[in-house]
Amino acid sequence: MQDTQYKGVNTQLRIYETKLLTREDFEKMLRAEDLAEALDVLKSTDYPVDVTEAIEHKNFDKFLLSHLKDMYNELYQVTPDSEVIQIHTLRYSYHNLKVLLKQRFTGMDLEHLLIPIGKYPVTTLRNLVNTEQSEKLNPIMVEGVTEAIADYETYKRVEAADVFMDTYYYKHMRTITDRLNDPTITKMADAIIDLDNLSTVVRSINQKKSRSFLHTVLSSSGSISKHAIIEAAQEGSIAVLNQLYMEKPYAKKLEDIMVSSKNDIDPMVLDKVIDEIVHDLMDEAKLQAFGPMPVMAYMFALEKEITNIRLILVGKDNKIDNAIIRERMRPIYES
Amino acid sequence: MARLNVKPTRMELANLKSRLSISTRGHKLLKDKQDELMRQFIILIRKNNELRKEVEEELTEAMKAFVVAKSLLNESFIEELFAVPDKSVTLDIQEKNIMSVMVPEMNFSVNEDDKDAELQYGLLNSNSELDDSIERINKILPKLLELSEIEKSCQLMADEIEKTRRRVNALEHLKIPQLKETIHYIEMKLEEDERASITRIMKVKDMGQ
Repeated sequence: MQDTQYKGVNTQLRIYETKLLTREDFEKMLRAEDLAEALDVLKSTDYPVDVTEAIEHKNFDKFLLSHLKDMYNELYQVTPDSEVIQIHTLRYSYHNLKVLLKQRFTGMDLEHLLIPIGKYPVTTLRNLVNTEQSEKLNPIMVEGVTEAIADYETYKRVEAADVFMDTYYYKHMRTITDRLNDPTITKMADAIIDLDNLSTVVRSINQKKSRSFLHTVLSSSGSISKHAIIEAAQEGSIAVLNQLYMEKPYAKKLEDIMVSSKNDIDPMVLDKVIDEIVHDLMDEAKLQAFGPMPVMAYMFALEKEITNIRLILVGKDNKIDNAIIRERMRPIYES
Repeated sequence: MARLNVKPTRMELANLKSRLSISTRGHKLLKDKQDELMRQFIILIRKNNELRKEVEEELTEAMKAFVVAKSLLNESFIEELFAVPDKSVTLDIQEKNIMSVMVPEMNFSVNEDDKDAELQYGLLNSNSELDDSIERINKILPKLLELSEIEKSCQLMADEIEKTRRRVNALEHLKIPQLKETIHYIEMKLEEDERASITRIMKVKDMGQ
């Protein structure tokens, strides 16, 4: 793919970027006395907030998702290669598949949990889950769903949906990045998968899960081998960091965690640092004039913005201390 | 105090006297029952208070942690994680008799097959704060169940105490005084009749002389 194909999009992105919430907007929301005031701040931005409805039903995800959906739809239209956006929207597609699989396994009605975001419409995904075949969808996705169903038929474990979909999500992401063959995107995907694996290992070690559990939940699509992680995990989470992650370009940030923790790594701090590392990677890439990276960086910023807004709104609604909210806020995109 | 509407006869008097003795005995028994129920109730209530305070504190903490964890994730993601419960719990309720009050005794058992399942929910769309809050809630569960058992017992015992107290009061303040008064009335009446008949006989005797 020609990098210059993106030059139109990247110009348009600069316009989209101006619509992102600024640090001042977030500060204003944080300083708000109550939920209504915070919503008022949000109303003055691009979000389609109905303040009375939001206060009454507390359904913040409704307008947040609708905004996210609109933005993704716009991006799908302007980006030359839809797979670039898919790297971000795959999470929703695989979430929908999990919901549909669980519906199939248990016969429960979970329709309200479907999120209409992603390259593939929900009906196509539903078709796949019902018939176990599809010509429109990526073969990786089809394979994942077939495997999950086969596993369920044999062992009758509903969690097969979660296990298989999580694994295939990473596989699918890896296939896309391999096909795009862009060194920055590959680097990014490596970092995301490796760091997700790290987070999973630390969480599993804290919960004293077994080796076979790690084998099930870790992804083998990262740049660090899954077996190496499992081996290192036997000696604790610090060992995993020391043995496998110190060569990475983002090692410095991880070192900081090791200094602050003695024996165990606090997974909450780790989750935040991981987001910061990815943010830094995106930050480096967003100023590229050509190529798909600015789109990637923008989508990442959008997702984090929504997380931050949700965090503040829920925090204001539940009268959570500003310090707790601030501590958890993800990095803000600054153009 | 109203007196019972009965005929002042010896037969009735005997009847009433036996009723009075049964009532007095019943009253004593019921009073004893009430005292014992109260004693047990107070013990339970104290335990209930302590447990409730403990559970409420822990639950508030856990819910706070959950709210924070939840705010970092899409709500549909979380609902999807827990849409299908990974454990099935069997509840076995037996009845225990405390002073003729049948209070529930609950036993919970987690299905053995489910205990082995290590993966409770997918790790992709969850975070460590969620792990933490779920673990806390899991820990509270046994206490919460114990609390529900004790609260139900307290409720049932409170009903029974109220019923017993009403019975004791009815006997003490209504039934027994009524019986006593009626007995007194019949006795008076009978004595009066006796005196009347003696006087009459004396009069008849005088008339004959």
